[in-house]
Order: sequence, then C-alpha cells, then structure tokens
Amino acid sequence: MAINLSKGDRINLSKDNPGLQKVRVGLSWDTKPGITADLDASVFLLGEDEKLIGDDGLIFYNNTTSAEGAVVHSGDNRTGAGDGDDETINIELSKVNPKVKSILVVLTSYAEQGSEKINFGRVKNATARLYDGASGKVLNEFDLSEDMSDATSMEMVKIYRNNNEWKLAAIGEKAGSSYNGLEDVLNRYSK
Amino acid sequence: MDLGKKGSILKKGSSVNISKTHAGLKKLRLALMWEFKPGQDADLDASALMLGSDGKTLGEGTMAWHKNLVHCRQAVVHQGDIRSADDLDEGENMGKETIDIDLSLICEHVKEILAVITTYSEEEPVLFGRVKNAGVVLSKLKEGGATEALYNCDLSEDISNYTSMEVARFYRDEKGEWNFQPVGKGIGKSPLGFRDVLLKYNPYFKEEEEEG
Repeated sequence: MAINLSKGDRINLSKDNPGLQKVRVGLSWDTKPGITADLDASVFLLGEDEKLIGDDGLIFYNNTTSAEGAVVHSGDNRTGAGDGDDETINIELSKVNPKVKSILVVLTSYAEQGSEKINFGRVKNATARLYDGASGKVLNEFDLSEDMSDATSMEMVKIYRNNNEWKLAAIGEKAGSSYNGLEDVLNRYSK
Repeated sequence: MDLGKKGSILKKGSSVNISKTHAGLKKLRLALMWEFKPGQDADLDASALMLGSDGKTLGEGTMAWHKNLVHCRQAVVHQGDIRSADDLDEGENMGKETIDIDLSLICEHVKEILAVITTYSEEEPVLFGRVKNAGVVLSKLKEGGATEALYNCDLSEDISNYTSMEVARFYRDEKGEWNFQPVGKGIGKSPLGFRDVLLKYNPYFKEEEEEG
C-alpha cells in the first residue's frame, strides 16, 4: 500500500526499498471545470552547490532525456486531460551522473505568448506519486492539498544522495509566480 | 535557454496533413529561428513564395518578403526583418523571422507556399555556416494573437555552405488538403542569396545585363 507523505517528510528510499534502481515520478492534476491549464513536470539535476550542473541539467519539454540517459521525461501533456498521471519522469538511479547530488522535480504552468497567465488557482488535486520503476508499484504518494493560487511554479519532491543512499524529501513549496513558471525556478537554480 | 514550447518534432522531409490533424485550422505562424555564433554576423531574410501547379511563382505580387510584406488580401504576412546581430538586445543571440499565413485566403491557383531563407551580402557570400541551430516552428495562431506551437524541425544539417535554403512548404495534395513539410535544403551560394531563389522559382526573373 502506498505510503502517504506530508509536506516536509523525508524518507530513505534505499533503506525502505532495498535494491531499488529505477524510480518513476508521476505528476497528475485536475483543472477546475471549464478551465484548461498547461502544466509541466521538469527535473533539475543539481550539484554539490545546489545549482544546475549545466544547461543540460534541466530535463523538460524541450529536452526530454538527460545526457547519460538516467532521466527520461514522458513528454508534454498540454491539457492534463485523462485519468492517471499526466506527465512522468523515469529515473535510473545507477546511471545518474556522480556530479549530481539531488534530483528536484518541479511542476510549473505554461502560458503561450499572448495568452493569460495560468496560476495554480486553476488546478486542484496536484499529486506526485513515486513508483518502483521496475515493478510499477506505487511506493509513496504526496498530495498537495494546500492552496497555491497565485503560484506558477512549485517544487514537488527532491530525490537526493546521502552517504551512498538515496532519499526523498516531500517539499510542496511555491517557487514563483512569473508568467512562465519555469523561469523562476531556472533563475533560482542557475549558476 | 529557450523555454518556449515547440510542439512535436518533425523530421526534415516528412509531411503532416494539417487539414487532417488539425481540422479547421486556417491561421498559422511559421517562425524561422537561428542562433548567431559569437562574433559572427549574418543578414538572414525569410520569404514566402506562392507557387502554381508548375512549381513556379505566379507573378510579381506573389512573394512575401521584406520588400513586400503582405500578399493577396493578407493571406501571407511577413512580420518584419531582423537584419543582423546588432538588432538584438544585450545578451540575446537568437534571430527570428516569422510569416503568418491564413490558408482560407490563399487563392485557388496557388498549389504551394514555399518558405525560404536567404542571406544578403554585397561582397563575399555569407554562408549559413555563420549561424547555428537553425530551425522552424509551426504554430497555430489563436484569437487575440496568442500562439500554440504544433511542430518543430531542426534544419541545421547540410546547410552550412549555402546562401539560400528551402525551409518548409505547405502544399495541397490530390484531395486539396493542406500538408506541411519541413525541407531544409540548400538552393544556391551567390552573395545575393535571393537571386538563386528567383532563378529557380520565378520564370519572369531576368538578370540585369552588364552595361557597355
């Protein structure tokens, strides 16, 4: 049975799931009736200095596979329609570049030039699920029940190394409210 | 870093039937984009040619380019010219030219709209090798001027030694449905890049003869 996480929780992935090599993070959301919202899952590969290891450390809709193939983005879902996860990120822990200290998963909104800004007030039931990538079993679930109305970007979960073990932190913190959600997060983590 | 969405990737040479995949879609924006290499400059111009069933332009008014921005009742509108890296703001290095097309206004006898990009030089030819990451993005034009990217294609391969290039084409198939195809094929190497385009596509084009 999936273990529900609350904001601020930290779990030891390696201890709780010995032998775990592949994980999948699935993000899902629903829009309020009559409203559309284009949300995006993205991954920031951060080094010891808590900054992006390079331009290619951002895995997102324009760059869906990391250099060593460790992180693969499922592709862009522009409407959030349908049941189940809307966007997923597959991570093969053993392939992650040794320079990478943490893998930050964010959820951001996207507005095309000329359209109105999309904030999370339009969204409900934003959820991050962690799966065992090999068996497909849901390990953890993190529901963002808090109201994030004016945000356009949110840090969801962070998977990080500590003493040769992989851990996960449930964050659930607003990152910014600029027109293009991803920009605020990029500014925060660029060198 | 470019955070703009670009739609699905199309390979050079592959066609997509936009009448089928996006039924009812008439208003489009074709954006040609590239990056200037540090210290190198190039005056790139995008143009759109309207071709008839013989694959040639139909006459004087059937090209939309920086000298003639609007064709045929606003069916094709060129958004203007970024002439060189100097036109860009501090820190930017992306060049872009866009052409808007309203397929519902395209005249019957036009069988193909061909987008080309050319360089301009009064001395040595300015080759496409001076820029990198040339690509094209096709977007839907929505009410209020908003766009939604549909397809993109990387055109940077095999074009370095040219001064004119066929970027992409919209053509009507046997059923009269519109198809979009990124091309990415070099045309010529003259210093005045557009000259080679005219030679290939405009049956009315006559080169000026030398005096004396």
